[in-house]
Parts: sequence; C-alpha cells; structure tokens
Amino acid sequence: MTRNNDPERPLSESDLDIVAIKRVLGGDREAYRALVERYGGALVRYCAVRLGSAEEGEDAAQEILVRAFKALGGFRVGSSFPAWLFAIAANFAKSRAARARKSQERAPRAAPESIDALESTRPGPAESALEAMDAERVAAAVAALPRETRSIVELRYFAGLSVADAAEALGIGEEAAKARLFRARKILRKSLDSEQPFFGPGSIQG
Amino acid sequence: MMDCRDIEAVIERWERDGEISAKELEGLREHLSTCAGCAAAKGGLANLLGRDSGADRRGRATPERFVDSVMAKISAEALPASGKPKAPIPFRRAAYAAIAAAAVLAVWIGASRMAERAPGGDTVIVRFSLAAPEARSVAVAGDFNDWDATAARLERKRDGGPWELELKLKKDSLYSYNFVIDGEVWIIDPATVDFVEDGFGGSSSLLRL
Repeated sequence: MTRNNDPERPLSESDLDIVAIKRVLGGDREAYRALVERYGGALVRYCAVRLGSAEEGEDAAQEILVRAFKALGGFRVGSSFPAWLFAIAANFAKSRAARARKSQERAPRAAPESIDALESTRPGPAESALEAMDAERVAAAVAALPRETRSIVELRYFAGLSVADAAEALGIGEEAAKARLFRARKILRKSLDSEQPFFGPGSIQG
Repeated sequence: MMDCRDIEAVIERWERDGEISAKELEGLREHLSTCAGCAAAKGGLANLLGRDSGADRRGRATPERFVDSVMAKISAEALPASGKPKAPIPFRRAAYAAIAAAAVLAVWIGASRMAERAPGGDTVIVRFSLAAPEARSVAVAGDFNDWDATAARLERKRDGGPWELELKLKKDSLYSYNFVIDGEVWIIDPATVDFVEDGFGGSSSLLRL
C-alpha cells in the first residue's frame, strides 16, 4: 500500500507520517500507533521539561496525542507532522502551566524532580550520578534562558525536533530559529562551562 | 584520542554551527571519562552537545506501555473527519462494472502523470492525464484543492484524445487524489501504484513529490 513511486527515493519519515495520517482519516484507527511510537517518547520528554515532573509530562503527552488524533482532519498536507504536533503541545503546556501556577498560589511548589527522572524513557544503564548532575545543570541553565530562546531550545534539545520543524511549530522562519539557537548556545555555553567567566544578566561585563 | 584543546575546539564549533558528529561526541565523552578536570568543567555542556548529535536522538524508543495507553484512549474517540467529501458514487468494483456495462466509459486506454521539477522554487508541475474517451468531463480532486470536484478540470485537445491538466503543487509532499468523471464517478488514477483507503469504501491515489 505504501509502495514507492520512485524506487530511487526511499520513503522518508515524513512520507510515512502522511501515509499513516491518511490511513487514519480513511478509517484505520490502528494506523495512529505508528505516529505515537515515533513521537510519543519525545513528546513525554518535552512535556516533562515544560511541566517539571515526569508523571505530569506523561499524562500531558497522552492527552496531547488524543487531541491530535481528534484534530487530524485539520492537518494540512505539505506541513510537517512533528511541527504540528509540538505546536499543539506547546499551547497545551502553556495553558496547563498557567493553571498550575494559579493553584500553586495556594499550595507551596513541590521541589522539581531531577531531569534524570524526567527522562525516564532514556534507554541504557541509569547514567552515573555525575551524569545525572550534568543533566540537572543543563535543565537549570535552560530554565534560566529568556523565554523566547527557551522555547526553541526545548523543542530542539528536549523534543529532538529538526531546526525546520521547531521553527514551524513556533510559527517563525528557519533563519530566525537558527539565530535564536545560536544565541541560546552562547548563553548556555557561558553558564555551563565552568572555565568560562560567567556574565549573567545583571552582572558587570568586562 | 582527543586532548583538552581538541575538546575546546569541538565546543567552539558547536557554539557557532550547532553541529557535532557522533564521532566527535564519542571522542569528547572518552576524554571526559579520563580527564577529571574536563569532566567537572565540561560535563554539563557535553550533556547538551549529545542532544545535537543525531545519534543521541535516535533509539530513544517510546515505551510500549505508553503507546498502548494512548491507543486505548483513542479507541473511545470518534474517527477524525478528513476533508474528502463522501462522493455521490464512491468508487467500488460493482459501480465501476455497472458503469462500464452502461457504456458510459467503455474504454480505459491508460493514464499517466508526470512531475517536472520547476527550476528553483519549491513547486513542481504535475501533469495529470487520463484516457477516457467516453467521459463528458474529467476533473482531479485531492487534498491539494480540498477535494473540490469542480476546481481542477482536465481538458482535451481533440475529440477522443486524453484529458490533461497541469497543476503546480508544493514539492516534498504526499498528496492523495481521485479523478472525478462526469462530476459523479470517483476513481483512482489507473496509472497509480500507491493508494490508500478513503474510509468511504473507496480508495485514493497517492502522489509523492
């Protein structure tokens, strides 16, 4: 059913996405499984980082995938499925975080879990304590980024989207996305590299 | 084996270009595992760099338990609706046979479509062509024109000749479409090799650009 028009060109991941979407729209619910398998893990990691807990991240990722399923008829051919999915995710995380902030005004905020716990889907041996510490330092450095820069870093480095897909998810051009990522890398390098003097916001430069 | 200076150079280039190869990442991690100074100073960065090498992103599978849970939730949901309208007479073998018997469309000589890359740009010119000498009208409806059976009509240059139409479509996309004959019979492109079920008991042809 998905044979290739051009034998020289293998089906890309994005072709496979669109075949799966068309099959779902054609009544084959089970075809959605391929999309969940391909993007579910990245979505959980992304939501965990945005929402600050592994459990909430998984919960949110499930709900986002159900919403995406229901909205699949609105997916435009010619756009990228991961970009579309993570745009839904970004909106969802934003409104859920806002709701959480409201309820936290009453309850004290729980200590954030370590990033290692957030990335529970990581395969392989549970990295050493040292690596867990590194991951936590990265999460702290990313959390301290200006919001505009942080959103692209989360999509690129936590969800693992390509620069083009991350740009599409945020509704910005690819060049703007590259420029934001470049700024982010400069800031992150400064804040993470202990041998580099760190000039954070508000500190005296020079 | 990378030394401390090599590590600095890799990080420098990553900051500039956002790129690091899987091999460089491996060298960097190897160095960090033997050099306590670098491990302390660069550990956080190494973690971040790992996310920029494609190698680290792949193979992070979605747990099966998670997939099953999502699929279970979806089974309770109504199927999402596609933009394709329920065709008045969806293509079915029986309908096809009946029409052929009525000699409305007695002869299918074959059909073809050709895609040419437009010079530069991100569009491709696609020629849809269908030989249906008995048809009164032929149109192409697909997700590129919201399944409008009147938007893209094929023309023929001479009586009995093939119906043809060139459309400019965005490349790097996968479209599905049908030919619509006499405004009511939806068929797949006889020249097609790929097709998908359309959910209405018929099929759509797939066009990959």
